[in-house]
Amino acid sequence: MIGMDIRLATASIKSSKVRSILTMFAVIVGVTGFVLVTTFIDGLKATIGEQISTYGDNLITVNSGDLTVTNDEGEIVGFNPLASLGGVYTLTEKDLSDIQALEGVEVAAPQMMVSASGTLTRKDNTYKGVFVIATNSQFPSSFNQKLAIGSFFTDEDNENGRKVTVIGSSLAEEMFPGGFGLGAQIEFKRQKFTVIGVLSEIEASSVSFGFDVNRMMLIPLEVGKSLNGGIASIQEIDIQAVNGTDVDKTVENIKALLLDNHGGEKDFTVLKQDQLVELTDSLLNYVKTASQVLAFVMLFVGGVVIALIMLITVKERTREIGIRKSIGGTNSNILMQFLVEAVVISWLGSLVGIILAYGIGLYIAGVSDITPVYTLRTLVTVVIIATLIGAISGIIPAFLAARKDPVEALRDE
Amino acid sequence: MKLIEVKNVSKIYGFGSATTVALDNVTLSIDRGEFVAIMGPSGSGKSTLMHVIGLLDQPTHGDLAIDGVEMIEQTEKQLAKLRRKKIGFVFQSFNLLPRLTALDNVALPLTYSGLSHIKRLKRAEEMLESVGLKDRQYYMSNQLSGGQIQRVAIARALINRPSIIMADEPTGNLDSVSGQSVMELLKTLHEKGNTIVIVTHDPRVASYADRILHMMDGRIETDSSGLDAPKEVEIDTVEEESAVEPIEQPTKKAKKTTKKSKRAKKTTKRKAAKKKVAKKGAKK
Repeated sequence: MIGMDIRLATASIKSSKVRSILTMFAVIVGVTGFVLVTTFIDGLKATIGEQISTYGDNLITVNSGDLTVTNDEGEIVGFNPLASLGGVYTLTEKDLSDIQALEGVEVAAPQMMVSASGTLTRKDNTYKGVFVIATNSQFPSSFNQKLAIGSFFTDEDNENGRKVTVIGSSLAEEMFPGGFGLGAQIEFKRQKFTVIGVLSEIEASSVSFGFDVNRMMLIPLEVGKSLNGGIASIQEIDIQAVNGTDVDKTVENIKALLLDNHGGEKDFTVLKQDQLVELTDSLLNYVKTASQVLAFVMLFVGGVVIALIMLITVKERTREIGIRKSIGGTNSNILMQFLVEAVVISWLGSLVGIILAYGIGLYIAGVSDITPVYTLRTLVTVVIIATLIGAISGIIPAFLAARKDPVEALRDE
Repeated sequence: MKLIEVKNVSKIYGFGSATTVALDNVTLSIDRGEFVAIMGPSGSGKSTLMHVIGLLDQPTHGDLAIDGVEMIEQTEKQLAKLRRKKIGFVFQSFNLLPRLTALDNVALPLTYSGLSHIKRLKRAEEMLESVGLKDRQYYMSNQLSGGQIQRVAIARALINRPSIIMADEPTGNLDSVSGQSVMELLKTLHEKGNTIVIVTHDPRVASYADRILHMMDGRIETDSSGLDAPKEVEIDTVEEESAVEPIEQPTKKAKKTTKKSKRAKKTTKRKAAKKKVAKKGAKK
């Protein structure tokens, strides 16, 4: 019976192709959006997870602001990534030096964001959107990063406020095609910096929240301070614990130290590597949910469109309903026929949406480093959503169709 | 044996001063194997009577029994089931579904009987063959002539082996030649023992019937019952339970119905043909 209903529905859809495609349009767009958002954010999560894992199990990060939601026992039960949006950097140079002095801490490097979108000039060329960070000599080891060429600035460079810089691999390629530009001068905020090193390419870099970490310019912290009116505005401190030591214990020590330094106010967040993964996941889940809500709005519109078209279809096919009743179709037969038709329209739209999303996904994966991750869960969600949209939007038209009086329906022209 | 029993049936539309009496206390019984024509001017209630007997419409008052089954106070679902099993409709405007092939149209009533797709198509094919349209089974209705379409519709009406075939002006949209071939087909079905009720205002069409009812203002004015109905046919078919197995020699039949031009010449000999029916019935 259902098989027959599906055959009838496809025949009816085929007989008015243009209308069917237009009917499906909103569903197609909604499903495409839903699948793209879901698979790409899942992909992003996987990539970032991998990227963070390259920093090693001993990585501990300290961030300004309290990003975590903890229970009474101090266990992290959730994240509040929005807390970082305030832009108030609570970490100080004293925090940094105290952490460096702690037992179990191998290296600790600060990150002072001098500019998230700086403009560099070299000769007559300008380079926009560069990520300028002031840090110390321990930066490469804090992230397990190596230099492609040259050397990193030393503590001595930092203390003397020497205007030297180490740049990311993409930036180096851009500025010095075919060479590395060691010893070259680049200008930032009217200060001339000498390039002394180039970082190795950081894998899966383009996924870092829109920043290309390979377009990074690193300068000594003291120089950064001088560009910021002498104030160190530290956003983050990245720490590598001594190998083989109890990382959890070091985390606890850091927390206690910072709490003491900050007068008992927990305006910082200390995370281990795995918690960092959780944090980025939860941040991405916010983005995912927000985008999915948009897709759902589109799908809702899709449902309304299907309902309207089904109402018109029922009206147009009044005579058919009369014929079907006269040859023995029951009200529930008629109800099912139109209900199944609405669901099939929704399914077809969703199928087109999935295929479209897959195609767009292939394209985006080709031009970026993000690979979409297709999970069974995503597929099942789409199927459930499509069925619900079809059923909900089809029920009223189908009910009206079933209720039609056969004699009057047969008279319909 | 009574196949249809209509007792004191009234059908009233509207309320108060806008009340229309479509059927006014009609009592009627039709035996198995009869070929009944209901005649009358438009608005006389002939279509309403047919809709009531065909279970498409419920009477306001009165009783209706088909095959001894009381039809009043059946649920919508049961009525649909009874329509499917006991009644085959043939309409003036054919009422085929335009998006389906002739074969699918004929098979349509079977979809509500829960038969498998292959069985449905097989039976529909047999039925189309019996009305001489086997070679047109994959045509859409807009590729067929009016006469052919009506024959497809008749095949559809027959597919569930109904107790009654109800035809509402079956030749109304056809030219005289196709109309005649359709009537010849109905006549043959009647000869095979089917009960046929036909609504028409065309006396030539009504002349095929062996009983003519004239309706006026919702009442049966005259009933030719017993006047020229060949009783032999009736008696003969009563013995066949559930009447049908309508067509036995399809190929012969096909030839018959496609030879329209020959048929056309025979228009004047209709009465003679009718007597022949009686004889045929007697021979059986």
